[in-house]
Amino acid sequence: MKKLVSVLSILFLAAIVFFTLMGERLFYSTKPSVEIDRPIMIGDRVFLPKTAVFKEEDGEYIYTVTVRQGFSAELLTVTRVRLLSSMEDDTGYLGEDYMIVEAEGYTNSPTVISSSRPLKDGDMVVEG
Amino acid sequence: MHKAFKLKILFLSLPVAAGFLIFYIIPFFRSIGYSFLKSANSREFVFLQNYKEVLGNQYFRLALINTVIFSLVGVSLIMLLSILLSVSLVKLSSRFSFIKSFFVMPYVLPSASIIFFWQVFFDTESYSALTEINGLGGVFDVLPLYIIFLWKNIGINIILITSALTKITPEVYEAASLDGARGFKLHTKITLPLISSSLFFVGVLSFVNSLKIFKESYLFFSSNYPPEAAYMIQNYMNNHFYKLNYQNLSTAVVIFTLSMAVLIFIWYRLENTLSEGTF
Amino acid sequence: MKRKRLYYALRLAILLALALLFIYPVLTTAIKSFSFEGKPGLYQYWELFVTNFTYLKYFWNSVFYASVITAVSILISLPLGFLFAKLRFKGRDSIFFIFILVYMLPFQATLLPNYIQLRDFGMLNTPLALTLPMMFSPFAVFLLRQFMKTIPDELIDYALLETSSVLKTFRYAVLPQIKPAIVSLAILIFCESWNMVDQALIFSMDNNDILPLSVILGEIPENVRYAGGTVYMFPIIMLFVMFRETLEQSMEAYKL
Repeated sequence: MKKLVSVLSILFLAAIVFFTLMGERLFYSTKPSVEIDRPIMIGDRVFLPKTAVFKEEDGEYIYTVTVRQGFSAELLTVTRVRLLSSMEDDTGYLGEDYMIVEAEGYTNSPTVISSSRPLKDGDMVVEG
Repeated sequence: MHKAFKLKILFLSLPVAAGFLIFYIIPFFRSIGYSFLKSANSREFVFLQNYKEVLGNQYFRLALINTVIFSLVGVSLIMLLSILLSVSLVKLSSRFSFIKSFFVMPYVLPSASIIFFWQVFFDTESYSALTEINGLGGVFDVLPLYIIFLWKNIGINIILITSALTKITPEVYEAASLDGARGFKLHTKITLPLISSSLFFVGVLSFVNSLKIFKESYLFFSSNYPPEAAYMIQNYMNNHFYKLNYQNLSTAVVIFTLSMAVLIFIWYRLENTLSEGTF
Repeated sequence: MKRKRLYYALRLAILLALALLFIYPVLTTAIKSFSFEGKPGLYQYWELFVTNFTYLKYFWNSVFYASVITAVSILISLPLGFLFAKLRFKGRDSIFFIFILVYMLPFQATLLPNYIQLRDFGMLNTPLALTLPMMFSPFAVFLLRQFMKTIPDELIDYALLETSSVLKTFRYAVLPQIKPAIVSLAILIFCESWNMVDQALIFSMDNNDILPLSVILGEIPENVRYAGGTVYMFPIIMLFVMFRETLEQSMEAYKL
């Protein structure tokens, strides 16, 4: 019994110390880091940088970000939004780095501009 | 024991004695002073007005009544259960003495860890329905606190009572059974009087522990404003702390401490006479 | 004869059942900590330590407070406990009665005096506030006096023949006699400090960073509460299992 207690205690202590040192780092490094910005509205057209549009097998998508205050840090979750249409900026307002997009209910939500890794719906991300 | 040794001991005792004076005794007298002032900043002497205000305050009265009820009922229940369990446990052979430890564990466990369990336990639809029934005086609102109180504090009582029970030599029981005493009669007429001083101490300890229920109450209801039936003196005082209402708080503390001092003094005297009576 | 055996077995069964019922909350909390969103495993712990990485900060706060309070209070209370136990002087019992009185008062009565003094020293919302008053709690003095009373006077007189040094007397005559008792006292004080709630709420009203885990635990997200609770009570359970018998024997000395 005493041996079991000692072994468990040492394991416990090891785990605690490990996560004390690495916990915060793991939090940030295990998530894709993204740049976030809001789309630009000119008239009734929605402009987004080209990098914000992700071409995937079944269409084009953008990822909106919802922010929630967690216990230790802000929790950012992405939601996959299907684009109804997208075209190159032909108005000349913002230049060739931008596209005009259309998606259901999408006008002003914070959006992922670029990501260090491919994203999936519901992923947690960190800004940076 | 020479003087030099005594002086050295005295000297070494100074840190804890000084700390005790500085943090407990002196400020206590200062708070008595506060209770006579109008507010923390003014030096207006208002004599007993604060006392009248506090004693007349409906929330103070509610808290007082709730605390008294909880202590009385809680202590009675826990004494009964502790005695029953101790008497049963003491008859087991020493091989099974580890069972005692299961009852003691809740006493040392940190409240926050298991309070979640109790919250979930009492959070069922049927229980919420029970609390909605009017006319019961909120019994079901407070019931979780009673359960948690019993669960947490039976252990220490059992340890104290079983240790007192084991000190009764078997000869006493033999002599009693020779005289024809058996079962229930045996226990009430012989056993209980023999452990009466321990029982008395356990009673007082349970009373002191019943006042500590605030910890669990705060964690369980997750707030300083529990349901009406569970609102106790400690909640009252805590709320006034947050409002930084020193004069009210001091008054309540003085009232409370005086009552406790009287009770404890009576107990101290009674305990001395009782332990002289038994062997 | 058979009847007696039957009664014995029955009593044993009932007591075992009750005992299990008593630790059911502990078992449930521990078991539920090993599943996360339906999947069994250590995921909840990962979620606890990574997504809620500040949890461990509060854990170490608790470790700090409990350790400091335990070590210091026992150390400084030893001489005074000895004084009350072995030295005779006028008014000794009356002064000791005051210690008992303060020890038995519920927290709320002693919180205000503590608070006033901490406020005047400017110590509120600092770690000092969550250690200093508890260090001077009469609990250690009270129990040490109980334990030391059981040391035979002759032993001390004999030690005093050899030396007049307090340190040596303690080391050779006093402490060895009550070693298991001191261990139990340390564990009891540790558990009580580990569970500090009332003081933390009041003395650190405006500073959340230094709070111990005991008050923060209620604020972590629900999906990690079981793991959070298990980690928090793990050290206590280990201590309890290791020192169970010593603890129970010393608890019997609670009496006056």
